[in-house]
Amino acid sequence: MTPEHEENWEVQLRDIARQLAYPPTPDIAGSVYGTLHPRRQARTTRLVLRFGTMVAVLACSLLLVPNIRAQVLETLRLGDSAVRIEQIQPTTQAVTNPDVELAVPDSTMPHRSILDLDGVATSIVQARAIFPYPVRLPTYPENLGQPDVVYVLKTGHPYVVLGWLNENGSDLALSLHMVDSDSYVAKQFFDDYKTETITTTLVNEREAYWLTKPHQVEVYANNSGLLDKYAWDVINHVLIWTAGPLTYRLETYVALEDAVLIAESLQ
Amino acid sequence: MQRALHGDDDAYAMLVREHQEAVYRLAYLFVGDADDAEDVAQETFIRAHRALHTFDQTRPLRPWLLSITANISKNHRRAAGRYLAALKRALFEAPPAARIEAESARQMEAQALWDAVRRLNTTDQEVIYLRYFLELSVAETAEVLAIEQGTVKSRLSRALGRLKGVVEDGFPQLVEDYR
Repeated sequence: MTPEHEENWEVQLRDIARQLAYPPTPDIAGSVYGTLHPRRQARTTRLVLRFGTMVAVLACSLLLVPNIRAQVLETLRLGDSAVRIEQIQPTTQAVTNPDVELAVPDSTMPHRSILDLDGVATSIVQARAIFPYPVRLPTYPENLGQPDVVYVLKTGHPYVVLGWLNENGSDLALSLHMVDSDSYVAKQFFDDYKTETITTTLVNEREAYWLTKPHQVEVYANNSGLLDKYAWDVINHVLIWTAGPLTYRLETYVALEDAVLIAESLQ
Repeated sequence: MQRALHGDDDAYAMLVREHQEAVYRLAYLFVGDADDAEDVAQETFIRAHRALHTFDQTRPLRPWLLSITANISKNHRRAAGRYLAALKRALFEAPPAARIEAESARQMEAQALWDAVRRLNTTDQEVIYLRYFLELSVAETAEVLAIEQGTVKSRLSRALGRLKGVVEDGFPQLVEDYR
């Protein structure tokens, strides 16, 4: 080949190679993180256990004194984030919607909505600036579009909520929550839902939980010594799963199958 | 990078996310199977994590990761005849009808080019994948292969000559492109 011929062939080669259809890149970051993390956790757990045993012995001794016991309990309550999930009595039946129209059933049930949370509304741009991971959006259903509301709850790790309103804007038809799986809040969700959940399912071939029982959620956050409590009632269904370093929860009225499709459509 | 070096797994996950596509694609080009490529990509990042403290931070990360990928891929396809099986599938099995319909003529051409490259020896494949499929610069290709830029150019020239022979013999649909 002459140099000119070779150069031409190179250009053509690059042009053709660019058209090669690769399979979609899987979530390597998530699986690598999952592989690395248990090792670190195990090491940390051993250290924490040793330290914890010493602290527990000391604490038990101190708790024998009534005044100290009262003060310690109060301090412990204010000193960390926590989530509490309590059952509430349903006055309406949450319905599934096979057409994936994100409608909220006509309910007269008074409930505390995420929309009522104060001081946490922001924009998707701000949320992406605050949140240390990509804020991914569902691409299913196709017509879902951008979230109508975005909240960042100031727990120890930022807790992002994306919400899509129902037709008349009175409540959320669907909300997607994401938080670092290492956070206390995420762990507590899993611990509580494991005991409550009837259905386990798979999201991207990893175990996920599906809860259909109405309940209330309380998330505590200690911000510079001031205790904030975020509380809302869940009158629809919840799908909770992990992907990479994050724990997600989807509060929705759609059926399980559609909820899984929504969960798997995040991009 | 600094955070990842100090054991921050979240920071490392972000690094992985940044480079996973290039790593996965190079692995796929070598091993020819999506699942095997995912295994190779994971292995790459886990090995890189273990060796992160040895990495010269004044150099770009991507070539280092791709050199690990290339090494693992080559070992991987030597093992247990997996490469031959994947190659056989790629060369002799008819692609599903849906795939044929979906693929444009250019994609079919790209597939034919890939099949042609896979008939070359590993050294030729490697330099062609890096330079033309992943579109690395000559300097980056030299970093990955740990050779001089001049050696990259001469290696490419020889590989292109051999690819021309393969195309002329078995891929007439590509012949028009280099005339």
